[in-house]
Amino acid sequence: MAAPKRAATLLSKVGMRRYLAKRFAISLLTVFGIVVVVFFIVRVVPGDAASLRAGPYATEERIQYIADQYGLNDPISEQFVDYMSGFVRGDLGVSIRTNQPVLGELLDRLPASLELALYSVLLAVLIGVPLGIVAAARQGSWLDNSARFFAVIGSSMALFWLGLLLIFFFAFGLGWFPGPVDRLAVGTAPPPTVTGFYTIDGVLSGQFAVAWEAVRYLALPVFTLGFVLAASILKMVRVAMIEALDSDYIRTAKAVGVPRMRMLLVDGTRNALIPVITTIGIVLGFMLGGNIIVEFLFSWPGVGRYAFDAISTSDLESLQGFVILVGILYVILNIVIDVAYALADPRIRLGGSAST
Amino acid sequence: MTGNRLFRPLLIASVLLALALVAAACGEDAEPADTTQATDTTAPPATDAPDPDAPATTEVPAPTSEKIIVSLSTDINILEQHLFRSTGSYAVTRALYQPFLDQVYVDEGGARLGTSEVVPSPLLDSYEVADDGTATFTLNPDAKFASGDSITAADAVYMLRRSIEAPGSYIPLLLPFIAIDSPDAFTVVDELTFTITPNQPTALFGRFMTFQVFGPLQESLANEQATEEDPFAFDYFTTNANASGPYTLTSWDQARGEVILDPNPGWPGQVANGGIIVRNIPDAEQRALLLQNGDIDVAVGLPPRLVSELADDPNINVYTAPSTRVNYIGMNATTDPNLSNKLVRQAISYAVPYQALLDNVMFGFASTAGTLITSPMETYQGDAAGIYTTDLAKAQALMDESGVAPFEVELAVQNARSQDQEAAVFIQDALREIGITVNINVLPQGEYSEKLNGREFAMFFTEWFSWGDDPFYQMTFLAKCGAFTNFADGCNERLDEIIAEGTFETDQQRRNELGLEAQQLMVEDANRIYLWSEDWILATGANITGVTKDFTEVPRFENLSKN
Repeated sequence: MAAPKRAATLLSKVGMRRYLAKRFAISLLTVFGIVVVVFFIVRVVPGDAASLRAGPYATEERIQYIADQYGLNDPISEQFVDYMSGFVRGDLGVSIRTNQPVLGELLDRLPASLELALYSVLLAVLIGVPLGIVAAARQGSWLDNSARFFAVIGSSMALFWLGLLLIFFFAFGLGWFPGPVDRLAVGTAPPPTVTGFYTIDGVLSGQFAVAWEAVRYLALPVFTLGFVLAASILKMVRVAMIEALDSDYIRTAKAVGVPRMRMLLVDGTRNALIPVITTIGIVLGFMLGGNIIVEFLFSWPGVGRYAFDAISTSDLESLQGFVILVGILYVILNIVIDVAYALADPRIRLGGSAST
Repeated sequence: MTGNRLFRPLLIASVLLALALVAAACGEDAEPADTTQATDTTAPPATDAPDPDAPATTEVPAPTSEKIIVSLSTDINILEQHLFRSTGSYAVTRALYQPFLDQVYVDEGGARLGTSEVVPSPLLDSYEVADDGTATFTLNPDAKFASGDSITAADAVYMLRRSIEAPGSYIPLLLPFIAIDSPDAFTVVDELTFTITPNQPTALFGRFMTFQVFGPLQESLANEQATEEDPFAFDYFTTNANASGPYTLTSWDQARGEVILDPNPGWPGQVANGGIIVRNIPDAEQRALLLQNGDIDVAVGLPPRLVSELADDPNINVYTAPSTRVNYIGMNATTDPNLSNKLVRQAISYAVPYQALLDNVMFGFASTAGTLITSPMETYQGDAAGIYTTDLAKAQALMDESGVAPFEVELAVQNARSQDQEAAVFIQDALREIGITVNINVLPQGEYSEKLNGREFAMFFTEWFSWGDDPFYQMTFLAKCGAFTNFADGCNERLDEIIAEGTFETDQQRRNELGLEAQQLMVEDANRIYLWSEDWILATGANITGVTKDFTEVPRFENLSKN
């Protein structure tokens, strides 16, 4: 009995390594493709960063001087070669708006976006998954109808509108939450950086008041995003669970007397997991790159607001850096999702050729 | 039974989640860290104004140790004083760099408003101008940088020469107006004395010396931070400062858009507060709500519509004053041949509903523009110049006289400027009455700027504000033949002569005469529709005093006080 088990484990490990190596190679190619496409697309965008940077008093000569300084007048092929050689050295160029390296500026702002995104997805999962399971288990009941109503409302609610309502009622009307100024109250010093998440760093550094304040400032933007995202997760969980609960093995389980709770939370959920993981992955990816509106609304100092500023000032290097960063995060996220698939369903890593 | 088992964990999770949200809602904010630390604000009083005839200045409020929270509409991108930067950055650098001269202020409507009189700033002991225009500045020996090092004449001259010599500096664009074209104009006389010798006396010299871009910079620090590629240490001063102004840079969190400024113990003036926290809050609605909620003390850059709502709030003080800002629509004759007919341009100028724009778009927070020399500006003589007022009959008559058939024209507007978009609709309606179909084209800022510079627009909105409150300086940029920022491309040689003479003319009577003639020419040429002159507006909590407006309209923090 032991030898076949070891062989299966070995096969599993080899399969996983091969699978990861393949995914990694594809990811590298994808990142290269992203950089190339983004580089050329960004240059098609109309705008004159040099004149904005030069200011209203500028003469044409001065604008040209700035354009030369930032290489904007170089032939596109030369700009591309320069950019690629910088990119492989981890240099995403210099922002024409701030005169600072783009990579540093993005990395300074990334933890704010990640903290917002991860807590939002966590909230969405905490709302969406249980409600989805309940709705599937009690199809047609008032619980199911309520969950579906919530899903419709959540899916059709515009983020900025929900955000404005929450700010208006809960920050300015009732005063329960702080106004949309930042991650912390104006003038509060952030905790020493360990993870970049103020909630965690506050706890790690023993600054519990700052950690708590960070939670309070996160509450409204997280609820805004979490509410809308929960709807998509709920819908997906519900559909996947209904499918799983309708399957032969669940019917068999019912017939042999497996407890309903175990059937739902273990057998049903595990088999419904693949589409749910996909949805959560897509949602998280959207969060990392698509938070511009919420970050603007809540004055949240993340990469989304950075991108907004870059767009409005035609700061190509910053905009390009943002899109590439988000592209890379998507690629990493896809790898994580694929690994999660493989863990959830070993047939995937073995290309469907083996089954345990 | 099974159902209960299923729902119990879900119920518990939901209750925990709800409790967490309620707890987050009920908690208090952490105490602001290190923001209210007592700081010595009992620096020596400001140097007395030597001019006995100068208008009385308002008393600076008694110092308090509280920090004041100021919200801005733009981010803070660069602290280097010789690079062009965002308006938020200018607010911060004004607090860090003290120019050698200051305006004389008068109290009006509870605010301190700058006049065109100048006096030595706290950095100076004395300031004299000789008949040939040579200005001698003697530094106050108590004036120090934030590092504690004394400010010397060598530092002053280094900064002045750097402003001309540094390749990235935009200051050379300003210096021709004060007849300076060489670094040799600046001379160190002794440790505390330096001179500036322009090529000729000018009307603007004193005013220009109040500009923050002429605040001293420590030479030894700049040399220490300089590199071969960056000999003037622009990179260093983009994010750092050794302040010569009322505040020192305590921290700048670029990601959060927050700057903390503490009073500079080396500044020999008086700071009326315990420091400033400057915060970028991009959305105007949020700034207004935060001000109403007491979360911030000062809101900069609120649009007139919001200000009109805040004006009734007893907890808010709204300060307004006429400004030399000019908002106009350029009409480019080369882009659209129909506009090359002067009668058509005049007809359009008569058709525009000026008062409706002032009332419904600007909510009364603006005054008549008339021409590029706006009504709040020196030498304004709108009635004598015959500025345009709405007269549809006259407009129609001019259109008929022009012989131009009804035509379509594009009016370009920036997407971030809601006021212009609203005004565009009014103008579209008005011009329809005289047979002109206006197509409104809303564009993002970057694209707008590119097309504006490329002279691609037939009709376009522009706002202009030039520091110094001088009509000839303003017209140099906007009306001079061939000027890059004369986006309407109109050219009048006589107007050029007037601008050239007026820029250096020191006799006020002659300046008035030149100003009137310039206004008459601008009315006659009708290259632009002069819409309004937007007021300077600042909203504060009712407990804030010491609001100051100078002619650069960059916020001044040192006199703000929280009661």
